[in-house]
Formats: sequence, C-alpha cells, structure tokens
Amino acid sequence: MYLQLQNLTKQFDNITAVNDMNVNIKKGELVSLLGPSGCGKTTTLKMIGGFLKPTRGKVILDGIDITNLEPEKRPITTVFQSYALFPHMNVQENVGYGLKYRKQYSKKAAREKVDEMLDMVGLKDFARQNVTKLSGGQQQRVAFARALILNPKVLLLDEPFSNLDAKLRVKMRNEIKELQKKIQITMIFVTHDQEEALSISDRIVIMNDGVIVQIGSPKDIYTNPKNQFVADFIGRVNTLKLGEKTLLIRPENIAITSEDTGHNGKIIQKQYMGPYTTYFIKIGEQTIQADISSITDEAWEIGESVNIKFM
Amino acid sequence: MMQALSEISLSAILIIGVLQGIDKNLINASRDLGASPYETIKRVVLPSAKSGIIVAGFIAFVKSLADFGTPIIIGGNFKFLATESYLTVIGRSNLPKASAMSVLILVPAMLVFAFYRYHMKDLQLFTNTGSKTFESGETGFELKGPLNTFLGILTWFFIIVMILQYVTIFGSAITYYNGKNYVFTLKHIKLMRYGKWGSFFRSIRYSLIAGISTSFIGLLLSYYIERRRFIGSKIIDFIATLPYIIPGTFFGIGYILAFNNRPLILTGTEIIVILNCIFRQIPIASKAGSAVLTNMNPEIENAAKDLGVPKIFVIKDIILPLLKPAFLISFINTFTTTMTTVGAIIFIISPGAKVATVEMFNTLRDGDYGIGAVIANLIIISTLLINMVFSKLIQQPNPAKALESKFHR
Ligand SMILES: Nc1ncnc2c1ncn2[C@@H]1O[C@H](COP(=O)(O)OP(=O)(O)O)[C@@H](O)[C@H]1O
Ligand SMILES: [Mg+2]
Repeated sequence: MYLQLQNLTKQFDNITAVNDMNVNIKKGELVSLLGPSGCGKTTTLKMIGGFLKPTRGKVILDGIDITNLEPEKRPITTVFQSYALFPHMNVQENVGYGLKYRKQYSKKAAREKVDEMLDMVGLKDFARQNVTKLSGGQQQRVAFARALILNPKVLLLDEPFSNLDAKLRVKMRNEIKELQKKIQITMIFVTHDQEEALSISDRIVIMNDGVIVQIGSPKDIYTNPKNQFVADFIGRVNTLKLGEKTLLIRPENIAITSEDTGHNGKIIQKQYMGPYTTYFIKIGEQTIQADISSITDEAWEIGESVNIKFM
Repeated sequence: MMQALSEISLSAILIIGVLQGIDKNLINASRDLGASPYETIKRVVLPSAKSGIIVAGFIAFVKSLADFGTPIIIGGNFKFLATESYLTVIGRSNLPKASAMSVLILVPAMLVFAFYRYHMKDLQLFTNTGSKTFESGETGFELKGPLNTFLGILTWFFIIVMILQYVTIFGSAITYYNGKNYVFTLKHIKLMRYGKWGSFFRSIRYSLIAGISTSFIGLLLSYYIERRRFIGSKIIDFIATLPYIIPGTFFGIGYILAFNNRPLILTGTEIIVILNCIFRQIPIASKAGSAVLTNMNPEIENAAKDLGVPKIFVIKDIILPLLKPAFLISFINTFTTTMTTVGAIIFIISPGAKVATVEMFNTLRDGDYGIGAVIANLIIISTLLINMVFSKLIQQPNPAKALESKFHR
C-alpha cells in the first residue's frame, strides 16, 4: 500500500475530530473523503499534509513513517480550499515558487517547467497576471499547478471546487480527473458533494462524526449503502417498512404500473425535473418517492391509484 | 482638551483600521435583513469596532497621563504627575523622588492595561472571511438625519480646531508682536543658525533609524506571537507591550538608572536615545503586525511550507511582503513619535546632542516663542511630509485584501 492511515486520531480540547481512522490507498488512486460539514475531512487532510499533529496513529507513505515530519519535508502538496495563493506574486511566480528552493532546478529549467505547467492548465496567456485579478476558476488552476509542479507523491485537495459555480465545477472536475489519469498521481480529494465524489473517485471514504462509515467504489457505495446514513448521504433513498422487513430503495428503482403487483398506493404529488418526474406516492401511512424517466413516464395524475414495482 | 485634540488623530487611524477590517458582507447582510443604517451602526459596526475603540481610548489615556510637555507649555495651575517628576529630575536633581512619582503614574497605567488586555481578546474572535471593502458600484452606506448632522459638526469642529492650531504655530514663526500688531519677520528663522539646525537633523536621523528598526523588530515579534504560539508567547507579548503603557517619563528615568553604571554606560550617547525610541514604539509595530496577520489567511503560509520552502524563506518571501502595510504604519508612527517626543528622552540626551523637540521645549521655556514656533514648524512639516508619502504607499491596494474580495464574490 502506498499511503496508509493507521488508527489516525485527532482530539481538540473537548471534541474528537477524527477517530481511529484506517485507510489504505494505492499508488495512482483517487480517493475521496466524503461527509457532511464538520465530520473531520479537513482535519484528516491536515494530518496527512503535516499541518496538524495527530493525537494518535500514524501516516505511512511509501513505507516510511512520516507522522512527525514537518510539512515542508513531506513529498505531499495541497490545493487549499481558499487556494491560498500568494497575493503579492503573479501567476508564474506563484506556480514557480516551490521550485525556487529545489536545488536540482536551475533558473532556466524552473522557468521551462513553469511554462509547461501553465500550458497544461491553460493559463499560458496569464503568466504575468496578478493572481488577484484572476477569476475563481483561474485561481483554482494556479493553485493546482503550483501544487502539481513539484511532482508530489500525493496531492491533497480540500473542497477545491466549492467556490466555483455549478457549471465550472463540473468542467474543472472533469479536467482534474483527466489529468490525474494522465499523470497517474495519487490524490486525496475532500468534498461534501456526493455527485462530485461519485463522478471523480476510484474509491470513496464516507465519514461521519470523525469516523469512517463505509469505504468502497462509487458504484459499490451507491448500490450497497451500508446503512441509512450512507444511503441518505449518497443520493436519495426511500425507507420502506414492509411487514418485518425494512427496505432501502432508490427512487429510480421504483416503477409505476397499472398491473397488480401487490403494492398499492396513491399519487399525492408530482414534480417535473426535466429528465425524469418525481412522484410522491402514499402507501398506507408511508410516503415514497419514485423517479420515472421522461421516456417511460405515462403521466400519472395526482390522486390516481397506482401499483408500484421494485426493481 | 489639548490632550484630547492631539490624540484624536491617532485614535482615528486605529479605529479606521478596525472599521476596514469589518467584513462588509456583514454590513450588507444587516441591511439586507432590513436594518436601517443607524441600526446597522449600533448593532454591527460599533460592536465590531469595540476593541478598536477601547484600544484607542487606552492609548490616549496612557499618553495623556505620561505627557508632561503639554501641561508645562500651556501652563496653568494644575499639577501633573509627569510634569512634577520632570521638574524633580531637572530642577532638583532628585532622582529617587522622581522615580517614586513615576511609579505613581504607572499604577493607573497598569490598571488600564489590564482592561485593555481583557478586551484585546475580543479582537481574536472576529473571523475574517469575506470581502473587506465594498465592491465598486455596491450601495455605500449613508447616514441621514440628526445623527449625521451631529457627527458632521463634531468632525468639522475637530478639523477647524486642528487647522487653527497649526495656523497659529505657523504664524508665530514668521511674525513678532511689536506691542500693537503682529508684523512679518524672518528673524526667528535666522536665529535658527546657532546650532538649532543640528538638532533638527539629528531628530530626523534618530527618527529614521528608530522607524526602520522598530518596524522590523516589532513585526517579527508579532509574527512569533501570532503564528508560532510557543509557550510563553503571551508573556513575550506582555513584556513587549509594557514599554508602551509605561509612561515615557518613567521609561526615561528608568533608562538613566539602568545605563548610568557598568556594564552598560550609555547615558548621554546616541544609542540610548534611539534605543529608547525603538523600544517604546515596538508595541505599536507588533500590534500593527498582529492586525495584518490576523487578517491574513493562515493557509497562505501553510501553502508556502507545503511547497517545501524552508521556514526562514517563508518569512522572507511571504510574510514580510504581506506585512508591508503594517511596516509602513509602524514606520510612520515611530518616525512621528520620535520626531515629537519629549518625555522619555529629555532625561537621557546629552546637552551637546539635543533633538528638535527638546530644543523647542527649551526655547519655549525661555520665552522665545518665535524660535520655538520655527522649530515646531520644521517638525510639523517634516513629519507631515513623511506621513503623506507613506500614507500614499499604504493606500495602494493591499494584495491580500484584493484577493479575498475576489475570491468571495
Ligand atoms: N483547530 C481546531 N480546534 C478545535 N476544533 C477544531 C479545530 N479544527 C477543527 N475543529 C473541529 O473538528 C471538527 C472537524 O472539523 P473539520 O475537519 O474542519 O471538518 P470538515 O472539513 O469535515 O468540515 C469540527 O467539529 C470542527 O469544529
Ligand atoms: Mg473542511
């Protein structure tokens, strides 16, 4: 295993922000830490980056225990949530800053590397621009280039897209995923956005209240949520009591039909969502949601009695 | 009254600093929620600026307490402790008694200091997310009604009194009273020859040296206090703040006592005067530094470390450039106070190496109001020049703030 978090724990005065965390990450893997705000994602990242000392536990990178190494000594770089660009430097100075103190790069080599990097993130024309004059997406790219230029063994990203608008967010995450595939860099990606985590990750670590709830591939987690929390957090889910059994069932896995299925309900509300329509169906005392694709939708009316089928 | 007048400017600068630090989104939010400008000031601006106002008040209090120059020059029958201890040293050469009196000044100063420390804690509570300035085109913030009129009158009153004060000083420098009228003359300026230019340039030199050294030392100190949070940083902070709260007179007498004997015989040297000025202003430098540092995203520093940059270079490349505004403020402050101080250094300068203020003080004491006014003018003009040049530099957009406001758009 490339990066190992072993029993990683961080206690602040009276709260345990991260509790006994164990994760093994393969080389070249993109792992997301996903969980609600305050669940300990940033704290975990800071312990990996060296900005916080763990109360207990170890961080092992490529077989070496780096738990007590200073951040500047770790071959790990971070894209900070606030980007943390150096406001008094222009784009190329920001990106090249880390190379300045690496002896193996001559001034010329460093400049070439910076150009190459700026080209890669599409900021070639902005090299001399003051970073304060850039848009959010451009600043994000500078932060990314600045961290990536040092060829870190692990790249940490703390909610890197949270300050971008929805469209740009999707664009940036595709770019990053592509880049990550291309250069095969190990990445830990913190987010509270389930869609982001599902779309970009090789594996997702779901956290809640400082502990890991579930680890798995996006598909694994979506189709086999370990408990109600995971099911709720990743997408939407209906909790349906049928006799003794409790079913966790996704809205898109419910079909509405006129033929008798043994499960009868009444449509009490419907919302047109574009690609699909969400029907709110009352079954006995419980209400479930069904997403019916616009292709197969038979335009059921509110008040209509229908049968439902689980798929 | 004179004390209040002369302290208002510094207080205003401090409070403006704090006001600029208030997240303008907070103000917008408040107005968004339906609060009138008046309500907003009461509920949002004043509470946020509370610490700044308290600090400004504290500084004015201590300065007035320690100032003996103003009461002695303006006269009157009131006895001021600082003035008394000055007379005791100079007139009666009674050092122990003067020390004792200075200690008396120290007691209330310490009390105020305790109060100040308590309130400074609040400053830490402000989270500094968000844009600090209104974006251009955003609705500004206008007060209406009697409150506005009242504040306007107060402001103008202050400005007029200040102008009058300076006009008078300027006038006295180039006129004399022939029994009936004030007549234009250059004789005061001509009289300056006799060694008085020397003290003026000495003042400038001291002020420049003190200004630069103080800013460096103070800012480094603030960095270690704010960011390194090592054990004992609180104590260092306290010790560093002490010289400021200790009234100048007390400080000066302390310097005589400390450096009159072996191993450090410094009394009468230039070094002691400059050191005195440096140490007295370090607290301002370090407070200015702290203010910038608390406003600065700590992740910026982490980012530099993250890139593998050795600590010392992080300070050189990142911290110091971003502290530039604090450096300038601190430089202006130290330069100005060194140019204008009397209290602390009057005891420790040697007669052959007088500085401009002491020269002025002596000429005034001797009744030479004309020459005194000329020196005063020189001090005022040079200080003003430096202030204007450096204020211009400060007003250049602060990159740290520019980035933040962009970022939170
Ligand atoms: N320096 C700190 N001191 C005390 N508590 C902290 C500190 N940093 C984070 N916490 C607390 O630890 C918990 C986890 O925080 P964080 O890791 O930032 O969460 P996330 O990034 O998942 O939103 C929160 O309850 C937060 O308040
Ligand atoms: Mg976080």
